[in-house]
Amino acid sequence: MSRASILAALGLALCVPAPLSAQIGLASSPQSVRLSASKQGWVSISLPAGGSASLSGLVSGPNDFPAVPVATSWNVDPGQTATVTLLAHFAAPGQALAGAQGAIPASLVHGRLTGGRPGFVPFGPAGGSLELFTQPIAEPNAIGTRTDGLEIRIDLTTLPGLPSGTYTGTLNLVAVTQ
Amino acid sequence: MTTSARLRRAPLLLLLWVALTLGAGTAAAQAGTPSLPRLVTLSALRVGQLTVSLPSGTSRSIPAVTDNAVNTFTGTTTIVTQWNLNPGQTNSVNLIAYFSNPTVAMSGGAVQIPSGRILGRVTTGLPVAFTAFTQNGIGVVGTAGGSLRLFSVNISGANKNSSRTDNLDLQLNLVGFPTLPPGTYSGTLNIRAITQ
Repeated sequence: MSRASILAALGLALCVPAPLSAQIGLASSPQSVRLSASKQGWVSISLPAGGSASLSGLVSGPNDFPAVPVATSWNVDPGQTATVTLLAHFAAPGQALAGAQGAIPASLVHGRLTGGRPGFVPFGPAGGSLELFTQPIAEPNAIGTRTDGLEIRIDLTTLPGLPSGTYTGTLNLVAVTQ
Repeated sequence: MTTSARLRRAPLLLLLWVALTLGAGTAAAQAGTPSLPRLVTLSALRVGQLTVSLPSGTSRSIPAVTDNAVNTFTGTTTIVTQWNLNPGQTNSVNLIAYFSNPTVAMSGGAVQIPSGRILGRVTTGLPVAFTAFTQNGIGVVGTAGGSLRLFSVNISGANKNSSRTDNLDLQLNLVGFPTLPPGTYSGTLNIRAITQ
């Protein structure tokens, strides 16, 4: 660019006023807030027919309680839940049922679900627990419910000398996700 | 005259014009006669400044959502808006919060939560009561149906260079909304200021 051109441009710059830009529409840089909300999954158990079962006239062999209906419901995130498991356990495995004259250990109490695996399985002895079912969870059954019949047996085959009397106990049911 | 000749003459003509414009007065003075005044108009543009910062609350959450209820996000978002403006060219400063996509303000899996389900308020601003993000934007800021104006302050000489701090509270309104499947739902709320 020649010197004349530079001078010409300088002259123009000095003589022509720069336009004043209006400040309407001036915007700041954006800031952001990350939002998150978590919906917790849940599992629940109910006993539609009540929570008690009784037997009269224990014999030395197997003694079966009437089946107790157990309804298990869940609403879980299938992305974070692989299974729903129903567990049953006695708080004191050595005295699943106790009376004034003695006790029946959890190892002599068996359980199974109606229509589930064949054959009774004893509770315990470690922890006095029994896994009743494990339900795999996927997208289609992320919300679900099932009702099972819990069959409980006291097998006194190995405890023929159990003193006569009334024996009571509490079986705890809990559903857990994994 | 050929084209090249005209091009060569152009700088000379411009120089002559500049000399006449700037130097004519001096030349006249040398003759002892006052020249006609020549004015040089000077202007300098100071660009206005407008910024938004979030000292705290850039992440808000609801740990345990309750269906069919209004859920409040924990904590509050502090918003500092600063400006340095020409009151002769600016009527107001407005703070806008908005979702880029009003139909999907938050989402998780296949579930979409629209912006109308997000409520906001600024007790020191315009929506002192919780209000849905269903307003339109202002100018280039915000989205139609997914915005919420958080304040509007008029600009005058007294507050042309100023700032203000506001707290934004947020809620998630699930009243009447389909039951959410368990999971995590996330979204991004944009905050921006604009002059009018």
